[in-house]
Amino acid sequence: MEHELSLVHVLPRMVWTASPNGHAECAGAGWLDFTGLAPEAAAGDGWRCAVHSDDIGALLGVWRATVDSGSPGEIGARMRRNDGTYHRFLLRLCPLTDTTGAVVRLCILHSLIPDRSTAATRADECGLDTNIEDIKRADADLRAHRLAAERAQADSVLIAREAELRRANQYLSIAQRLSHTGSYSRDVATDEQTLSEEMYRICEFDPKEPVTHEMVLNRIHPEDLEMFKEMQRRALASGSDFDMTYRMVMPSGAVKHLRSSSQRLTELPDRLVYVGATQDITQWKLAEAALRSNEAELRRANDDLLRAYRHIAEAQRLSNTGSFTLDFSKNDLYWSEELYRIFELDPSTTITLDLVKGMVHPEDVPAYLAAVEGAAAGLTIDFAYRIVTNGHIKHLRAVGHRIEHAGDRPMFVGAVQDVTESRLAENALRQGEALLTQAEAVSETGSFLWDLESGDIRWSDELYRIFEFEPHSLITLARIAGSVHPDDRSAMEEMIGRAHAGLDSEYFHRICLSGGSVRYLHFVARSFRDEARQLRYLGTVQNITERTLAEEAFDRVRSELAHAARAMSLGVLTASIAHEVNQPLTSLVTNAGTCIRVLKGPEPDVQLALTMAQRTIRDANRASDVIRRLRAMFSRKRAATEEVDLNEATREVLALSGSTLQSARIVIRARLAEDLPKIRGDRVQLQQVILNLVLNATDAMRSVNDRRRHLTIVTSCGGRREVSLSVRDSGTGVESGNVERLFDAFYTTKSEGMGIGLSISRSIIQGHAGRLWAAPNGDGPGATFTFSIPWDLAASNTEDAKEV
Amino acid sequence: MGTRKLVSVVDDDEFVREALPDLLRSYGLEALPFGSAEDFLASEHLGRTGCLILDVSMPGMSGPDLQIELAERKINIPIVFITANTDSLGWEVPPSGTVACLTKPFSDAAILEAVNSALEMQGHLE
Repeated sequence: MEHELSLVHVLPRMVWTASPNGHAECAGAGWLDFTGLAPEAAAGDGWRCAVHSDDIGALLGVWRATVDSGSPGEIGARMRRNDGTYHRFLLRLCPLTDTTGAVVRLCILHSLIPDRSTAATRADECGLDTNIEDIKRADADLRAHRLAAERAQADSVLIAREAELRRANQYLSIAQRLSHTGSYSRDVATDEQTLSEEMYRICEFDPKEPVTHEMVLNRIHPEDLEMFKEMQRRALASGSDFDMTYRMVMPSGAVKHLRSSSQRLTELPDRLVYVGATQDITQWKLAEAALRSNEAELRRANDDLLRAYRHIAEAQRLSNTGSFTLDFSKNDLYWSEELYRIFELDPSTTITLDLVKGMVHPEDVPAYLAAVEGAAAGLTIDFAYRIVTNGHIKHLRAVGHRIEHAGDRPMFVGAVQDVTESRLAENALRQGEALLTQAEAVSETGSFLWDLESGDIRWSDELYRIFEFEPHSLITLARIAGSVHPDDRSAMEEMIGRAHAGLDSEYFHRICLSGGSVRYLHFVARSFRDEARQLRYLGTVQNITERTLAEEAFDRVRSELAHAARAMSLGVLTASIAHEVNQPLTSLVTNAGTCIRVLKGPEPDVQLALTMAQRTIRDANRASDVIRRLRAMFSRKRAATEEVDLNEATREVLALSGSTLQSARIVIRARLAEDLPKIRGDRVQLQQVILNLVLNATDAMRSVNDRRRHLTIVTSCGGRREVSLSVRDSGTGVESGNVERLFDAFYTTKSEGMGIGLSISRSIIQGHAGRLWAAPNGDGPGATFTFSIPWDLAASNTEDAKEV
Repeated sequence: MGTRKLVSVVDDDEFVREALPDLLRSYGLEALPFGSAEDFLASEHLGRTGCLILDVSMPGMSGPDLQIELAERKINIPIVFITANTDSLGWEVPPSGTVACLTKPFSDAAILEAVNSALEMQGHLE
């Protein structure tokens, strides 16, 4: 707009512009000259004083119509010249509109109308009676005068205007250069183009050459050419003004952005002459493009930054890691969101080093202070500490270093990770491992992992101990095979075959130790494929030597006892057989006595004596039959008298009867005296007695449901050089009056368990020169059976007593 | 000597029941065998018996049981127990009326002495 206004200033014609509401904005030099008004006086409503008061109303009417319709209006009006005379002008009101079509400014052009009334007035003054000649002469004179006056006036005006024009052209040229705005005019019919200096510069035409429309078209950017032509074609067809923005390609290849505003010169209604101004807006365009791209870049950078920030926050949350920066110069501490979460503080809390120190576990405060000091001194820190927050302890690890490029302001950045979980897991793992090692040692169970692909065999510490190998020494199959008992090597080979086939194995095998002893091992292994699909074999090896030996000993004892049990029931049988033998012996002796008596009499009855004698033979045979049956039953030689450890015998019995006691829900308490002297006797028989007492106690407690079933077995060494053993139960008990009858052979014929009664038990104890008795418990329900055996008696004493 | 001279032998062993009365008869004593305590209690010879030779262990009513039964019936017959077992009879001091307890086999002299003692005791009781 600036340049348009400047055009108004410099145009020699009488022209001025005003806002639609009638305020003069800018008046041209011609107008100001004519009216003799100073620009300040013409501004606003000031111009109105230059219009004849009778014409102002009509002018304002046309003005409003022009503003309302947006199309040019015309009105004649008398304008006051600087000498106070009025002259008729044709005022043309040209509306300038914005892109929406609204009128933003009016341009008012003045054209002088020749003043007939003046000439007529002069003719009237010459008189009505003058002749035509006079009139003609006068008229010619007048015309000549007028022409001369007009010419003179025009000449003076022209001269003045020429000077004006020169000055104006200079101003224009400067203004055009400064604003990168060139101007041109074009007569469409003749294609006569006039370009201003600046216009030549902009279009880079040679100032000495005339410019044709063709040359202009050649300069237009190919992409804009159609648009350019179309705009011109349309404007030319309607004779209207036009504005456009387009590009020109310079001979150097540079592209210029131009904006032109063209107006048809209305002063020449019969010819199409356009004048226009073209501004080089390349710099603006470039700046605008740069700005646009900067903006996009900025927006992109901002998005990236936001995304990065979100990623970091997420990463921090996932890794339980917060970050901080510390400006030592200002003691300014900045924390990330996650760090607030780790410390369980409200994000609005202002963080200070003292606040953090207050949360650090008292034991870790010195380490914390040392780290802060180190950080201030520019050291890189990496340390673990604990904090106490909301009553619980967190394990943290902090790392940080100074940023070097932060220059004179020592900035410290760092990260703090919450390692509580991993620390706890680590502890649990360590404890778990320790526990496993301990468990392996306690259970004498070793474990191994065999990678079949690589042949690598890994053993646990306990397995080295079991094999008595040097700890952590290299394990190979050959080395293992070297230890395996020769009889078990085929089993090992089979195991290896199964391992390669991916099959599980379970074996019992033996190994020979360097000392010559043998270990019994229980081997269990599972095959599996690890995450890399590699075949592996994981297994345990338990040292079951003690158990195996105990089992073997147990088997021996059991078979001995089973035999003894048979012997015992034979013992019972023997008693009844003795009874049966005594019966025929009784009749035999009696019959023999009668026989003698008959033969001794004064009249011996031979016939009766013969009968008696025959009965004798019969009875004797009957007795010998019984004895023969008895002998057949006693096939085993009786155990020799030996030294017996009653505690050990008791433990064996308890082991044997364990399952029975367990199923009867009986709690056993064994209080076995230390340093119990050994006694001489039949170990198996004594165990029979102990077992019998234990089983009797068990039977006595079978019906007990209202209290604990306690069985207490006690061994002791009495003062009378006796060893005694008592079995106390919490069962139904015995009546004190009936205690002795328990040992009655007739009373104790009940046969349960091993089928021996208390009477036989008593016989056995008596056979060992001891005593067996029973008594009700004085301090509670149940009864106690006790036997005692002297421990320093010669073995011979017991020998015959055992023939029960 | 009293009026009741019958010696009753109660034993479940048939050979003893056969041999013992024959021996006693060869010494001029009147003797009768009974296979069980119940048979003896049911017989008409109960009142005539001056001596009872009684086996201890028998199916059904045992020797000691019979002794208790007789005591309850207030029948006083001196008893000579005979037994094939070495086991104790269950009493420290024998109940009154017990003359002897002989372990089988016993000699004819021992049984005769016990029977005579019993008959004598019975005679004193009369």
